[in-house]
Amino acid sequence: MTLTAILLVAAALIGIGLYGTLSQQSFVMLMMGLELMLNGVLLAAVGFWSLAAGGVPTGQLLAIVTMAVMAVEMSVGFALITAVYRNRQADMTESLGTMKH
Amino acid sequence: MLWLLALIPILAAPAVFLRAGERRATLGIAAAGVLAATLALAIWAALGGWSGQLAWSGALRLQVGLTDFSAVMAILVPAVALPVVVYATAHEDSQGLKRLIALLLLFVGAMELLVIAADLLTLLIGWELVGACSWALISHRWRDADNPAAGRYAFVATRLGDLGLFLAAMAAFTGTRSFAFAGLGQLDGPLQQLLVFGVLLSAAAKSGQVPFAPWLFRAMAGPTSVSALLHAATMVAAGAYLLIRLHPVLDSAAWFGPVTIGIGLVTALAGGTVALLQPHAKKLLAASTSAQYGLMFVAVGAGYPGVALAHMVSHAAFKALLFLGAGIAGEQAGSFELSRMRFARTLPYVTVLSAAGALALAGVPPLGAAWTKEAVIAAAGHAGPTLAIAVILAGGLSAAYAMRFQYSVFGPGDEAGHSAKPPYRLETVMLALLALACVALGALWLPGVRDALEQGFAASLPAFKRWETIGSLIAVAAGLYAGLLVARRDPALGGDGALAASADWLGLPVAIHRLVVAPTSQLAQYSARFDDHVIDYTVGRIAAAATAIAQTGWHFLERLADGLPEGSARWVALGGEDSRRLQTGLSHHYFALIAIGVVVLTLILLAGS
Amino acid sequence: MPIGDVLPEISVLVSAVVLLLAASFMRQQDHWRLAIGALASLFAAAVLCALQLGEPARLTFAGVWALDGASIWARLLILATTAICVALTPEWLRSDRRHGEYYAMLLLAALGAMLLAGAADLLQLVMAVLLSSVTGYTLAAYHRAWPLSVEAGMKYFLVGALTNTLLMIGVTLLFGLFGSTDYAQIAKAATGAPQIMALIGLTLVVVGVAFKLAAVPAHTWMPDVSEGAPPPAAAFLTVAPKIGAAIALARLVTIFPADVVAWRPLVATLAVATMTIGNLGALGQSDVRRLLGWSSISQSGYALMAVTAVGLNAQAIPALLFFLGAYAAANLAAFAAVTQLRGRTNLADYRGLATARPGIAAVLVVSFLSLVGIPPLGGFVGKLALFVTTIEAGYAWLAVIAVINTVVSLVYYLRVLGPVYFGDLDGPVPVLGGWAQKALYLATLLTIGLGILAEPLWSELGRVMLLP
Repeated sequence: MTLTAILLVAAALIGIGLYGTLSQQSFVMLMMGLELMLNGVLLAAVGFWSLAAGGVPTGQLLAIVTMAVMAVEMSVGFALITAVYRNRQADMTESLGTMKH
Repeated sequence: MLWLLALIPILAAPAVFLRAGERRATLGIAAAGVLAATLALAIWAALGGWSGQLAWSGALRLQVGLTDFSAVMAILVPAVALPVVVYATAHEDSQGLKRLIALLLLFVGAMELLVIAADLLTLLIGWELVGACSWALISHRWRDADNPAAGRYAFVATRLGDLGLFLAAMAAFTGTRSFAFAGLGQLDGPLQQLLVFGVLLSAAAKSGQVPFAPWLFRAMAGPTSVSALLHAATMVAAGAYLLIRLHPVLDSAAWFGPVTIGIGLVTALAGGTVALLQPHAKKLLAASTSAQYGLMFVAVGAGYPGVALAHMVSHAAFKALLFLGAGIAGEQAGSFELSRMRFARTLPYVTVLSAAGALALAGVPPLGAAWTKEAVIAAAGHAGPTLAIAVILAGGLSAAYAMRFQYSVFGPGDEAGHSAKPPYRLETVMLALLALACVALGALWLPGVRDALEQGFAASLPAFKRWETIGSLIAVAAGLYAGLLVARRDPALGGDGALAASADWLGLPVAIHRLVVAPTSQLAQYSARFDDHVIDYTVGRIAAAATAIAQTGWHFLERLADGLPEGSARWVALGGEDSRRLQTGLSHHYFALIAIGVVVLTLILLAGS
Repeated sequence: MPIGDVLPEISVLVSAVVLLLAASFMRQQDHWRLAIGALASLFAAAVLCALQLGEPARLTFAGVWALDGASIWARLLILATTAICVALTPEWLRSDRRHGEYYAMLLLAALGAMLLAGAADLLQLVMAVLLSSVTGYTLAAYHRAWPLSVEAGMKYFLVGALTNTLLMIGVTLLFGLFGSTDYAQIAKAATGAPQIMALIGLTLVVVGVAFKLAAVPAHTWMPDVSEGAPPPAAAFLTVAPKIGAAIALARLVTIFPADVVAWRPLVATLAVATMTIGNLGALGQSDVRRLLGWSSISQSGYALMAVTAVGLNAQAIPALLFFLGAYAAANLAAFAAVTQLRGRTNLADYRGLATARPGIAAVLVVSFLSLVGIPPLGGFVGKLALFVTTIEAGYAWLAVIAVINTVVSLVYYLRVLGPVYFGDLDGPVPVLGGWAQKALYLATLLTIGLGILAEPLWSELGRVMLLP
């Protein structure tokens, strides 16, 4: 298992996630994209930690922080999605455009 | 102590607004009291040589002080404002009168601050206050939608010039670590050029010189008393005063003299022509203001700031007088069209008083204004005989439009046609005060006065040459005759046809609109939906590129585009026929913006590193 | 562990938790008492913070936490901002069932902003951004039943989620390349020609911080939040995170040598784009809260000018701090006025305000003129310091663009003030109450005071330094 292989997988995850984020308009799908990107980050962080940085504790910490970001963002995000849906029966970015310009 | 000169009117303004009530008499007495106190204080200050200083911070301190020239100006401002404001309490509509008087007082205070300023920062504060007051005053009758628009036009035009003053202040601070006038002489190199350029730009804009002149026309939307004060002793005077005050510093730039003479001369000649062709009484006077300040610019440019100041003083007296007279006539006629006036029989006293002002404007000896105009001619002659001839020509023009004004407004006409109420006696008395000042300035012709002035102000005055005086008198006579001809034969000259376009500043406003206003507003409109367009454009390009690549046979990409979820097809199509549906307010557009931003920023980093 | 170095943060955190617990036990109509508790804890934190002023600048907690003048002053500023926002709240949320929790959320958001100001490590930066963002979304969407508030929160969240993810990618890249997340370590490792990946990583981190600063390209949330969030929350969200983020950005970019990594052109570009877009966006607004949001974007652009000059001019950080302080006071005063007017936001509704509420109209004048930078208000000194600093750093063109922008900005501020003074009053103008009024006048006094008392403050700030 080389660093290059891990980073390739991580890059693919981030790429697919970014594509999903930019192309999807459903809130849930969009957040799936973000989640995929963060997964890629997590993989890259672990890869860097074990194969490039010589196992410094910072790498482990980075992985934990990444998981924290995932968890916190997703929980707040879904809370907001629920609120928006209750309010306006909207689950797409397109139907949420009252405020503009 | 000197601060009081500005503080008294500024602090009195809210007091008058809140406490003086609605009655004309109360307002008049309050305003007259405040201005008389300011005038007395100004004289006292001039004799006592006061100055003042306020430390704001280590590097920033506000300084005020009086030089010989600024002392004259500090006295002139309340002296002219007193009759004008008292006239306003009697003349203007009672609706909003309280606000008008308070603003006029504030205006005077701001102008005094500008005059006593001894550093660029204090000057800027006064300068901005004067600009803001003029905006509020021009838009005074805001219920008519045109007036606020005119106020904005004037404000924006002069603001453009203010940019110059900011530039000058920044140059001064960068070069000398202070804003004080005293240190400006140490500047050299590009900073000095920047300073001179900035000051000249803002002075030209404030004083209604070409190409900023048209704002003075739009400013005519304000009440008559506002126009009178604006043209005689405040706003417009601020530009020329600034040049006079800073002349020693400005003159050190080699190009300052020629450029200033050029601006002044072009404005004087163009303004004279425009005034002669104007069928609107107040606009005629407005154009003449530009022209007269043009003469002052010529005098400053030729190296005689004292002459310019003298002309400003005489101009203040007669221009305020003429505006106030025009206001009374306009009240009678219900409009300011020259072809509908001729009030010699209806308004005999006003006619006589206004004649003093008109003759002064024409430059007929022995009135003081004639002497100051001759002095400008002599100053110009000092720089070159051709210039003297040009100024003589401008003098002839001013005689012509002065005559046209006086004969059209106060010429012999029908008494029966006009039955509006006669003016208040107070208005006439104020006119008389100003007319008296016009006549009294005739003392300048007395032999001893000239020497006394030269000694008192330690300024040299140019020697009058005989051919110049004779030529000028001939030009004035010819001008008077021409003006009489116009007023008699064709009272509505310039009202329509090709001349009407020339009467509106020789088409300058149209040019400004085409070259500056229209492109700017176009730009603003586009930019208002900047996000939209950037996304729109970028997405369009991406889509076009994708299509092009696909068509050249990159099947892989084609398959990818087919196989990806429906959203992507939509994404690409957004650039094409579907682009109408692109509107901001949608989060996925924000995402696109962020993605584009990251790419652009990375490219900047890459390019720079 | 040098616990004493983070006492202000600990006290804010503990009081947030205590307030949260208290809110769940108290009756709803007594929740306003929690505002007093929040104010007291903010005051205590400010005192603890001020005690650190005398100590020498240093890095603590293994180098992740910077205790220098920049971070202390910024944290004091954030605490003061939060206090004013707390005072705006009790009457606004009186009938909200979750009134008490708001204060806990506000304190946590303030904590996030404070952590930003002191971050000297990428992980610390991430945690700070995350804490400040997550609480921010909640504050923006606090009116759960009002569609606009929820929409604002949602949009804030969407932009934030993407930029936070980009930030994570950037941090991971930098960690992978330099083997550490500590600023000092990265600076040591980042010598020689930069790799493309490092530049991409830096850009991503900068964009992540730009989101907190409401700078281009992640500025789009600001007008929405400003319009849709409850005004007390909007007041907080337009000011506090920005203070922390500006310092964080300055600290972040300076770890790379400017002659190797061209971060100055990058920040200058951001500054120009941000101030211009903010101003152009504000020009056509007919909604006062939205207009304030756009104006807040443009003010971020001005602040970025100082970041450009960091390292070239010792006055850059003092100028930045002073500008942020003046901006905070003026913007809080403006939002306090909106709050006191019960959130009135349509420009047409401001007609004739000066007749009915001359005090509030005067506050609007003072705050708007300070935002433009008219003497003798705080905004003038702040902008002057910024311009002088930028010119002295050799970025005269940037200052010229900023001056042009300033001139343009006068137009939209006057568009509000015109109707206030010259319009005809239409109907009664109800106001909120005593708490909001006190906050309103306090912010106004600060705006004026910062201008008049500029000299002693400036000499105090002149000693401020930035680590590492």
